[in-house]
Amino acid sequence: MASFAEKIKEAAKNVLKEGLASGILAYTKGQDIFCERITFVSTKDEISKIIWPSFGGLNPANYLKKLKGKKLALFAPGCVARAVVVLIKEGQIKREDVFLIGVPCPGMLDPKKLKNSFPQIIAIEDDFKENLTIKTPSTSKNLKRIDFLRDTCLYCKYPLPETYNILLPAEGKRPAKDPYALVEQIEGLDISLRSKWFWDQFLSRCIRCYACRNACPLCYCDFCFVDETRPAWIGKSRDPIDVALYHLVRAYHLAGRCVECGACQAACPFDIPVALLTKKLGKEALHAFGYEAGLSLEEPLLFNTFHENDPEDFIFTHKLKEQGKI
Amino acid sequence: MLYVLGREKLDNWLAFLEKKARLFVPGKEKFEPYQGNITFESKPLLSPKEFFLPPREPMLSFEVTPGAFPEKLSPSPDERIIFGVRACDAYALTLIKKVYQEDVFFSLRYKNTSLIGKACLAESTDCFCWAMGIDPFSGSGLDLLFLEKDEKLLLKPITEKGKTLVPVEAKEALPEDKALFNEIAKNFLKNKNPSPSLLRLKEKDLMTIYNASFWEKLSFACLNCGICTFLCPTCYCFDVHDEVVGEKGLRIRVPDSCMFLLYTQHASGHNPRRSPLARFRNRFMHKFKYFLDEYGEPLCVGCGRCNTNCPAGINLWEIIQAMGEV
Repeated sequence: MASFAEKIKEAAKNVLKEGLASGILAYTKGQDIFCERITFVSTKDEISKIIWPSFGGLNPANYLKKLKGKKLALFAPGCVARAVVVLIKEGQIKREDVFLIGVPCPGMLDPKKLKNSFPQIIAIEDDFKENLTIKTPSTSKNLKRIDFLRDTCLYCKYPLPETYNILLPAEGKRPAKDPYALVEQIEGLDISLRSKWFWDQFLSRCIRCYACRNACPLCYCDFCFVDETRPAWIGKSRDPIDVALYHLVRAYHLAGRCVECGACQAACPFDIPVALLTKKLGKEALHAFGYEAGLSLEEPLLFNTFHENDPEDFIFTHKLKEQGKI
Repeated sequence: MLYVLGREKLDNWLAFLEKKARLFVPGKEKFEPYQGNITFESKPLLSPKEFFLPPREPMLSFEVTPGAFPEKLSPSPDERIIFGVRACDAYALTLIKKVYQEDVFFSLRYKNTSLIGKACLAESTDCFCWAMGIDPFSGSGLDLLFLEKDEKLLLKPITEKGKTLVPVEAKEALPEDKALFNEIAKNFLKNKNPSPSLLRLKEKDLMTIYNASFWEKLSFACLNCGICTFLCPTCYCFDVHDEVVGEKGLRIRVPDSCMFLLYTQHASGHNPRRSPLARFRNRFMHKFKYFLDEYGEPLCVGCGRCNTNCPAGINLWEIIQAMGEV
């Protein structure tokens, strides 16, 4: 039976041969084992370099904006397909310009989880199902993939894409039974502990490198609000108030849009759980409006619709009225 | 002059230093105030650059009222000792100093800070100071360099200030200790030569590198986030902003990144480095051509932070090589 990596290369070859796209956005190997890179692949020679990533933190859909005007193919696990769907619905790209090779996703590994447990890894063998073998200078060890998955993949609801042109036969990871477990952990904290969490994780560590913003496939504004200078909406230093403003506005701009790919969190050099903020808002959108981003091309965008039955209890004045305060 | 201190006296030494000035030791993410314990596991993500070019440097205070004159501010930094600095990070400060020697803020902070370096004994796979032409045992940029060998610490003061940082318990080194120190230093540099690419880059025509076609391919994966520039111990670019609350304001200096669109945004609206490629190219041209031509050495100390932390898998050696071979 063909290995996962071979299936990927075979599919890429066919796409180019049949002229279904002018190129493919795919992962290739980088300079070391933890380093994988998204590349624009358009020749036979380049196809031989395509890999399925073990770590693949970034979302290839993020690179569509760099290649506007080209018809492109992407390997699409659930989160990539969802990001593409949102981009199509928001008018950023056209459906016919993207060829989606659906991939039932085995989940991506977290290099930091591996490095923390085994600081001296020199080689990794990944079966892209359940098992992983690592080699250090002194030993070789069999591990379970699930113990080293990125948190965002561990709690992923849609490893299988809903939208695709072709679907590769593979098993993929099972959808998480408790996708909001980490969000609920924070929600369950007392308000002072919750603000301490925000302070300790975000405000005292973030260096405003904007990797989370730039890694996001759905952050595509030509000029971001943080870059505005006339007027400057936000201070440029690492002052906690400005850091808080940045993270909260970023999260709100993704409310009902975030596809939970986790690229923001994977990009953060400080491992700040930035994806939890957008996931929390995804949970709100689901519970209040029964909406999940990027699952269907037909369903209108969350912010383009209004129903009489839409809940309004998040509106503060509404609550104050109930309490007879206004 | 070389001194010997028993390894078990390390805590005494730190206590001695703590009485002299505010003492900082390496943490996982940054240098942190000494609180009775110390580890030297790895380089902190943020280099000691943070102490000299802080994330927020107030330069001027002003009032938004007619006739009010602004007031120049100057920092009043405490005396500080930074302990456990790597040779690469210390050398980086000598490079920054070439550019900032006239700067009041940098100079004051530099004067009030002592750097105690710890020699790296083992070769690491992700850093390469020697390739950038740095001898990590020269003590360049440090006030005192120490080396940990078995149960001994060998202390080598580099500057006059460094001599005052040697604890009274330290004994003058015996000839065999001196021989040991020299041997370790010699062994470290065995078969490690400055990269031949640097020589090639010096000779290459600037515009040939600038106009080369490889930039498009190599810059493709780059997200243009600020991780590499903010974690880099040598990147020194800044921006100046006004923080105004009501009628009062502060003009502050903050670190900036050439990866950002805002970095070159003109007041007219024109931006000479609009494209991600242009911004990517500038960073490497600055480090390995403009600075090299101006000062005779590259603006890189080989700490490896950019390579290890780049979410897009960019590796600077690929670029140096391409620049040298074009």
